[in-house]
Amino acid sequence: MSYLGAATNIVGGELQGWAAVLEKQAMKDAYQQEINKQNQFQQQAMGTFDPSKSSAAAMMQGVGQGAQGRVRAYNQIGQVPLGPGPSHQIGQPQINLGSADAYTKMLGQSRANLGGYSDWAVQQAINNLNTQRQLDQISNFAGSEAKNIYPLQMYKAQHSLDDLAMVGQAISSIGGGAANYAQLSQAPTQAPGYYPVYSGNQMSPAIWSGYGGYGNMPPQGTGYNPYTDQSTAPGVMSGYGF
Amino acid sequence: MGFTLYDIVKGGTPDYAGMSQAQEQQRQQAITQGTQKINQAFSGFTPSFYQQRAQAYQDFALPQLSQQYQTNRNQIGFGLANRGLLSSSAGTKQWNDLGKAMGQAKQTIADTGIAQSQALQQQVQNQESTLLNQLYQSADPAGAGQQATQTAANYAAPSVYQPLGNLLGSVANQYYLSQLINTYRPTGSSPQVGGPPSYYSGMGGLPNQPAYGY
Repeated sequence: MSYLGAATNIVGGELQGWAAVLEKQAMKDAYQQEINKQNQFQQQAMGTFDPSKSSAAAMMQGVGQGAQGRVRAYNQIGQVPLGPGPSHQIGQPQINLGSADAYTKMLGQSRANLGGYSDWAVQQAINNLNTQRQLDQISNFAGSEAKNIYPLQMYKAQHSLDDLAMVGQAISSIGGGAANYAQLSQAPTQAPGYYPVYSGNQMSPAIWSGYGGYGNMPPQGTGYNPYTDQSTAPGVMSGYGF
Repeated sequence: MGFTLYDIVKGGTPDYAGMSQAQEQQRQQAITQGTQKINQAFSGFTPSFYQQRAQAYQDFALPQLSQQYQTNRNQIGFGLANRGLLSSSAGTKQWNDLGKAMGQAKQTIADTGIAQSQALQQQVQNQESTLLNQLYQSADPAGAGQQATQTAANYAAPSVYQPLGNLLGSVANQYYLSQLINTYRPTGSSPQVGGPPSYYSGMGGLPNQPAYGY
């Protein structure tokens, strides 16, 4: 029985130990999976950036497009007639407004070139907004994964082999019980010391109180018999322990 | 031993991570769906919409500019005719000044229209971002779509425009000041009628013509 207890204790402890080790490994795997997942989010976020929109060449292209758009707008609105032209004397040639037109066009081109920078800045701000939206969504998803799911995945990994640990615990408890039972059921290996005690009544040998209550039998091997040995009769001898 | 049986009866440890993962997937699907609704609500804000917005301001401002132009044209024409300068170089310069002012005024109107359309575009984009951020917090696609539709409708409604300022004021001031100076010019310094033309220069650089009537 004692061997069974020892064996079950060993097996149970081994199972619990393996459960702890494997759970630790599972937690490590869960951590690595989370790292990989966050790396994917990071790659996804990096994909939202478009360096071609932020370069100096892209800026100049945007400025040029903005300027062209403004020149078009100036030309269109310049062709809108707002009223009759200048008055002039009858019989005289019409007044030439070529210098005003040339000045307006020249000023318009410069004005459009200047306004192109503003147009690029506005477009860039809108591009940044669009990029920020995508980043917000990605960071929202990534943050929620890390904040709401990852701890529970770690919890799951931490308790993934609870069954094995419980079985080990159960087996260990069986072993502990067996050991206790073996200890209780085992015969004593050492004889108790015998001290014949005289109780004061001299009528019967039964008054001899043996050691440990073993039927007042004398210890084995001593050669002493209180029924036959008269030397121990009360009042004759001092007796053991007197 | 009993605890093992109890755990088996109770079904063991629940899969909290799996349940949370499923909820998160539902939340992300809701956000994706809400994002589509918001984008759909704002789909009408295309580049052509903003061009129309700029054009709308031009359509609003140009009649006012036309009114200002005709007023100034009539006054300049009257002043020049009154002094017999309609076909003179002074008159040509005056008309060219008016033409330059007109050209710049038109460009200013075009710029204002572009600026207003760009400002509107930024407001729309900002509002869309705000709605998306709210959606990320609420994960309520229905509410986000409804709010986006309301917001888009508010932006699409006609704006209240401020009336156009006096874009030809510089020309008008120049003309009126010249007239005023000529009006109060001392008579002793006026050239005789029929004499050689003097070129008293007014504030606007207008060469004075022989003073008819003063």
